Amino acid sequence: MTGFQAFEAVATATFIVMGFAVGLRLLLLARRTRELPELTLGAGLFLIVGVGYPLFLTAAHAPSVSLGTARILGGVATVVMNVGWWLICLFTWRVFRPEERWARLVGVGFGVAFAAITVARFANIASESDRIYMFWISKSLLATQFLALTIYVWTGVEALVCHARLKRQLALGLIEPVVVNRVLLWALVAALCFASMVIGTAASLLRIAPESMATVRLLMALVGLGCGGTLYLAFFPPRFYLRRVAGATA
Amino acid sequence: MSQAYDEFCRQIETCASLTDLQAMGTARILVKEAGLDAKTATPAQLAVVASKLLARQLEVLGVAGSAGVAAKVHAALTALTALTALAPSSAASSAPEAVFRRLGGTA
Repeated sequence: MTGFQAFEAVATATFIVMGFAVGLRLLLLARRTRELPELTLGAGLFLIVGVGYPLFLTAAHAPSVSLGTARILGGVATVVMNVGWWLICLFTWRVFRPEERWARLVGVGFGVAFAAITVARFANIASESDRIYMFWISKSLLATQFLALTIYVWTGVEALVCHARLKRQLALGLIEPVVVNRVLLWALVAALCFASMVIGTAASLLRIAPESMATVRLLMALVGLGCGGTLYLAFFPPRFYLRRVAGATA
Repeated sequence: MSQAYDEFCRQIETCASLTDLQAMGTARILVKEAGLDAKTATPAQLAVVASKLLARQLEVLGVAGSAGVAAKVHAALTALTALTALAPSSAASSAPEAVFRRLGGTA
């Protein structure tokens, strides 16, 4: 294994482990509080990053996996990740725009769109015999990426708008600095997921498999590492970070 | 609107001798300036707004004794805070800030 491959493996593992851990932690919180936001966000992160992404990587890249197994893993990853993205959409709707009619329409519309795209992805995975066309270059994958990109943009914008409002609360001492910082970190997670998806979508549009381009792989590894680190700071903040956040606003 | 916000408007109207429209307008400006949502604002939050922002806004409106008026509104909201401390509203717990506080385990 080269140094670059080792870095790529560590970055990818960091992202997956953090998504898995944060998702699980929020699901346990939801079991206690019975509240929808922690359930949707926890399940969304758990399904997308903790389960779906590793399955997708295994199906698309593991040389020891047969084509038949890759089809099954790819199908499961498709369902799991599409449900996960829809749950993130529900989180954004219920937390930031719970009473807006248009947000309700967006939430329901994305559910229908993801259901339709899942069917199209199944057909694509079942009919292709080349993994490149199954998992990187296909119209159904592009449509999935477009939906996910839209959700990340919406989530990031809502979090930034909310952060701007909470900064005014912070100036009056109405809110803890760590909560304001967490909203900003969540916007950053959305931005990094957006960046990762843009890289994948661009590679797909240019009909390039990312594994064949060192620059694309490096960018995806860096974004994954950044996203894992941001999830850690947002949902498992170490004491030194909490002190730093509190000190910055003191 | 939250019960606390309605009370905030009522107190401004009564203590500052403003019309209901003037009071509601003043409250709306202050809530926006403080980054709060009228639907989820709590008595404790509005008490802070009354003590830190209200006097200046009343001066702009030409209300005499604005500091005293702000103190009266603050006292009324502080009393309401004590009354509602045991029964926090569900709207307040679904505000984005309350959600993100819970998500970090700092609720």
